[in-house]
Amino acid sequence: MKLQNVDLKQFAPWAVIVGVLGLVAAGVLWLLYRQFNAAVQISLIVGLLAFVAAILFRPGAVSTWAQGRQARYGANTALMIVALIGILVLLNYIVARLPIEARQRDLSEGSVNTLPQEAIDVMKAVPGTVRAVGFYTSRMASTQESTRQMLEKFRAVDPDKLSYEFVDPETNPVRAREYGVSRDGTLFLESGTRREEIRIVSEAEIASALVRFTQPEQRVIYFTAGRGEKGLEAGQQQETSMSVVVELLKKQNYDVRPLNLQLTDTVPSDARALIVAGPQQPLPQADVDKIAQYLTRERASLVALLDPTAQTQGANATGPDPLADYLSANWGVTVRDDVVIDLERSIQGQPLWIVANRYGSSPITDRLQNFATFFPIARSLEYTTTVPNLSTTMLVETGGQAWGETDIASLDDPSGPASDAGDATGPLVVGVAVENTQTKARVVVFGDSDFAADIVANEFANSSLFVNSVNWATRDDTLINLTQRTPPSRSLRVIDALTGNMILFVTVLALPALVLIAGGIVWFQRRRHV
Amino acid sequence: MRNAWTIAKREFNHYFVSPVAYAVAFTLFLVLGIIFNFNVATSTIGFFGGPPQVTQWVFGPFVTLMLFLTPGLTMRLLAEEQRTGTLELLLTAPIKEWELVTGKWLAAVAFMCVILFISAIYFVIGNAITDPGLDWGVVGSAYLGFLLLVAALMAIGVFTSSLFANQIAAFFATFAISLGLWLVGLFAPQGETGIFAEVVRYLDISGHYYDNFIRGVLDLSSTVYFVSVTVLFLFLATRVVESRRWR
Repeated sequence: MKLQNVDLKQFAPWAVIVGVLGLVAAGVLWLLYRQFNAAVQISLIVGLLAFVAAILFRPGAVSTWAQGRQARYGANTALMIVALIGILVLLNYIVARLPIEARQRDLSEGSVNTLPQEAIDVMKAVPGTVRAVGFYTSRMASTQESTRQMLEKFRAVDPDKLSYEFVDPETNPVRAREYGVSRDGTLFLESGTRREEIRIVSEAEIASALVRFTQPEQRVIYFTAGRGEKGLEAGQQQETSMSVVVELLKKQNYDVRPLNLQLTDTVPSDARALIVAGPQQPLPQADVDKIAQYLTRERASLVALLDPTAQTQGANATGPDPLADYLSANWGVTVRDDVVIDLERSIQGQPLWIVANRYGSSPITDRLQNFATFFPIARSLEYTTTVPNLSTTMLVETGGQAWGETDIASLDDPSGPASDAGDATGPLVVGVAVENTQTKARVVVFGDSDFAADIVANEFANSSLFVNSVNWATRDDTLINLTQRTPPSRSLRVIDALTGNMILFVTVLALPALVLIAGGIVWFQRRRHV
Repeated sequence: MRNAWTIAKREFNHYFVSPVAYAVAFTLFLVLGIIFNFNVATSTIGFFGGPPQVTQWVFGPFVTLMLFLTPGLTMRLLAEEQRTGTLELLLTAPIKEWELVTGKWLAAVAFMCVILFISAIYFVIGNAITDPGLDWGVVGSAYLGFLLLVAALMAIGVFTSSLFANQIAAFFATFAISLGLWLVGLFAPQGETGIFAEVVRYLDISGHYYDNFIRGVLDLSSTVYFVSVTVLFLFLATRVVESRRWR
């Protein structure tokens, strides 16, 4: 090809070089921008045009090559390679799209790597897609990794349904504010317009959140009001409001409403649970009768947070407490008239601010086993398991050194309080869950309400303990009871010095040395034969 | 297939008279031994203490080491035949190209099986010092996945060895392709979605092992992936050898 006496053939190699550079540039730019933007498009077009130009400059060379033996065989080989790649891609695509149950077998003891079938089912049942956003600082890297692994298990069920990302709230505070993040290591799940917040991430928590996506209707729960109970809105005094846990409940699709029992004849029929959160005065008999009436309904539930009388009414209060009497007579849970003191497991210098990390086995506490909960001024509970038709579970207990101080005046004693003969001795129960096996009504009682107050709700696992209690009471434990898989815990046997040295000798010296000696013998023999 | 078997046996025996194979095995066991002892020692100290993860202690570094050692084991297979001119001789014999390639690959995999068999000593020790013993399901899965991964890496090695007459060039080419497949996942950070991220993450050869087999999960898609890589590179190697007839 000639253009005004200029032989264009000489430009063909340059056109090929430009073509290759154009395509490489397009690839690199696409990797950098991750979008098919103008720069990528231009590079691609330039590259392709350069190749076309090269062919036009030397059309003879191309046709000669194409008719040659090498081109025929080469084309044949290329075709076979493309066909094989196509088959392999298709095969991989088909297998990767298989349901996780058909694709994976978990050989680990207790199948700890796979989701329970219930979780797989709920993941499939979620309408639409789910997006997870985790807020983790660099200090929570290992927790973030375990969350990622959990999310990957859910994603494996249906990769198109779940996507996730992690945001560092310190480097991206705007995003953190948008989500209202108040705690490092919080995970949000979003589906449509719904958003669920998970503070202690576990497979069960993620599955529970997914369940709630499948149940769009709001569930109504009532907090009693009018007797000095904790407020539902954030107040000036964080000790007397529960807005933190109320917000968490709202995020779990609860419709939280106050209920003044004095102004109503009965507990509303839509109540999924009734919550009595730290009344400063005992509830009158009339109110307790309404609660008792409500609890005769099937699947009714009560969460009672009852502070020590000495805290609410002073040290010398001796009046009756109809709610305490009702719980004792009908539910086998007695709230003792004491204050729990623990010199060993408490906030330093504050023996009344007890820290508990011993839990019973219950859907409420199963996921808190590695966390502590904090009760600022609590009373102890006593329960019986002999009442017919009642299934009672201890939820939280103090350390063995705690006792229930009944002599409140001794708290002001300069020498400090001490366990006396009449005091209950530790470990003391501060939380109990009871279910009526006939009516399926449920009652949760805690000897403290402050643990759920705004001032400490974000401490330890306090908010989770309260929210889990409400979830259990309202039967939102569909998936809280994921099949528990507890493989036997493994530990290293005690290794004495001799055993340790033997392991060192065998693995670091003997084994490599044997290989080296064998190699040396072979080398020596080969030299002899040469 | 009999020809492939004959070549495999010949190459397998050759490994045991090759100083490179002994150097590879020595390096492997020395490094694994040191890391194993370090893990045993630190697990008994309170600060680092935790449940003993013997499978991770052994196969974690083992897999990473294979990235560097596989090229050493495969670089000679076809490159040497080309350098000495014996490849032409072989091609004139009544033997098919795929039999030659498969035989070489089988020999390399069989040699690794011997190394794997010896590595069982770490699990025998691990079982003795762990209460109540190892989770053998996880160990079995880790072994199976390792074999599949090594088979794929060996196939890459056979392919690059077919490309060059120079062993050093074959070594670095194998290392480059293996490293590329190892690190390709970096182009799709965790959490990123979309077809590109999905494909890139799927191509990540280490992810298939670390996300599944080493944890005790037998995954069909990871198995198919490893087999696909093996088949593809053996096929490519066969085509490269065959191309000598018409190039």
